[in-house]
Amino acid sequence: MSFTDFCDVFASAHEDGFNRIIRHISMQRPSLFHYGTPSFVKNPKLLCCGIGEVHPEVIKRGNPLVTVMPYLPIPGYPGDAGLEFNFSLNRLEIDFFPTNVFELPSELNNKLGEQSFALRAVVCGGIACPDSRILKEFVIYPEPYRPDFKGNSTRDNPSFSVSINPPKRGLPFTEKGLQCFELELYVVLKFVREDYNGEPVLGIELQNLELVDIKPDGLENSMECYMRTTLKLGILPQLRVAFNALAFEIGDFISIVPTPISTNVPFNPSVDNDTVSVFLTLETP
Amino acid sequence: MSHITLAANERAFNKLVDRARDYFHPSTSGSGSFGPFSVSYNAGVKLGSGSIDLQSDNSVRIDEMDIIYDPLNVTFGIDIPTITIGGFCIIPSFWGCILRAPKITLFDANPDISVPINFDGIFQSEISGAFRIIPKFYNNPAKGTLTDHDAHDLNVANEWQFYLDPIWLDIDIIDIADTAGNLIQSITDGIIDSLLGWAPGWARAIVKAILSPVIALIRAALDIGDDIQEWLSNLFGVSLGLFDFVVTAVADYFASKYPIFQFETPFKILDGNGSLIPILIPIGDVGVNVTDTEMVITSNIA
Repeated sequence: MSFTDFCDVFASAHEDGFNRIIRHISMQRPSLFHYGTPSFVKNPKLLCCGIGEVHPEVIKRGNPLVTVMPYLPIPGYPGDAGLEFNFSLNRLEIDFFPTNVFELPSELNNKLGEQSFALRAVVCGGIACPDSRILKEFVIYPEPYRPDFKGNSTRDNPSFSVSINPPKRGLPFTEKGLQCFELELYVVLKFVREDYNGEPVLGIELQNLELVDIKPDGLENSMECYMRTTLKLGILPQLRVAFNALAFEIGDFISIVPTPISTNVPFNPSVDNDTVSVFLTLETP
Repeated sequence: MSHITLAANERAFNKLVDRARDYFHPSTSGSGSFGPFSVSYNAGVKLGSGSIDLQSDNSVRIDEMDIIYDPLNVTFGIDIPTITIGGFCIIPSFWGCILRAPKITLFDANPDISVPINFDGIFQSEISGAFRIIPKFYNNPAKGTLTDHDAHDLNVANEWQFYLDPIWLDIDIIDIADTAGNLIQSITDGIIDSLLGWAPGWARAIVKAILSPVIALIRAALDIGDDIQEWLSNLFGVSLGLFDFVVTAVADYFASKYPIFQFETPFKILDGNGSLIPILIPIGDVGVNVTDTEMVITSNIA
């Protein structure tokens, strides 16, 4: 059987190719995968997840390894110090149906359904926790509360405040104080054709999501719920593409458009055989 | 399995040829004068019949692609110096001429004599041939020891280049069969229009339609020799005839010098941003495979 039995032009990309592209991106633009406050930017070795292999050109041209993040503010603290933290997106991989790049957790039935694909990522990070001795040094004591039982004081008592001041510096910490965690995240997705005001659009549907082994279960479920809601309401609706916009024209000469769905082309794009494939038809304008 | 696969079938190539047939009409015109003589011309070409045939021996065949010279007309002109006769005074007086002889000016047009020769759509050339598409890795000597990113910035990166490798070519500068067919068609149409000028247009169209298969038969009969030659060339993969042999050799030379398409490797997938380097992806193992039905281009990401 030929690639183009039911279309004019065919294009496909294998999951191994995608995963190599991800690897090249992580080597050449590590700052897309690693985030931290200034101490981690200055010393990436402190990151909870190591940076791994970096392209020599990144070092040669002094590109950042870590994207700088603002300090974590401390509610109610009137000083200018905040907590330092870091997080990284590690071991990001894609697996097109059928399952063979990584195993899905049992909560996701261990394998992909037809036409589905999965993303696996390890999110690791942590807050740099200052020890008690340092915390003591940074405490700022406001005017203590003075109850006025007699009611003859003319001075106002300071009111309790949990206001948040944007921190300008980090609280000192030691490597030992770095509290790291690792979360393994699996997301199962599928391409879907949807309708938007009568116009066909290509979207991505979230089929399932799993954060592995967080305890207690309620916390895991709550975090998954938050991530699922964010994906469904915040991210995936923005990743839809109008089918008509997928047509590209070679001047006024000829248009290349997605092949319509039919019994011969039941899915377009199609996720199968470890690849994502697109079927295209040449049309005259 | 390759990381990236692109395929296009014979139908896609022929759709492109069909569109080229509608759109590809380059033409030129000009004129010049040499003393009293002048010449002006209109010349253009368009694609006629012909098709692309993908073959199982990994080659692409151009099957009898006609190039029609339309417009193709020349007008020769002669500008004879203007001559004025008469206008002289027959009865002069002290107050001027009372009666003048009639004044006749001859040859005041430019040119005075023009001879148009119109060959619009009469002459045709025909190209047949087969070629392979060869991908080659170009190790750019200008890159030297530069890193991939430096070479990309300086536009001296290595490349994957695609070359045409002509196997055989059959070029009929004047396609006798079609040119004769066009002439016969043109003459026949002229005779029918003049003899049956009194008849309604549809009646003349019927007569032309009746004669049309006869003209097609003449075309086919005149083309038999060329068809056999092309069939043999395709069978043996060599150009038959001294002219075609030389043309193939020349085409081979130029085709091996100039790629039809090239792209940089490593290939840029994301622009640099400020001081951030662009993201370059090394492409390897580029291959082109042609079967009876489709052309498949494959590559891997290193």
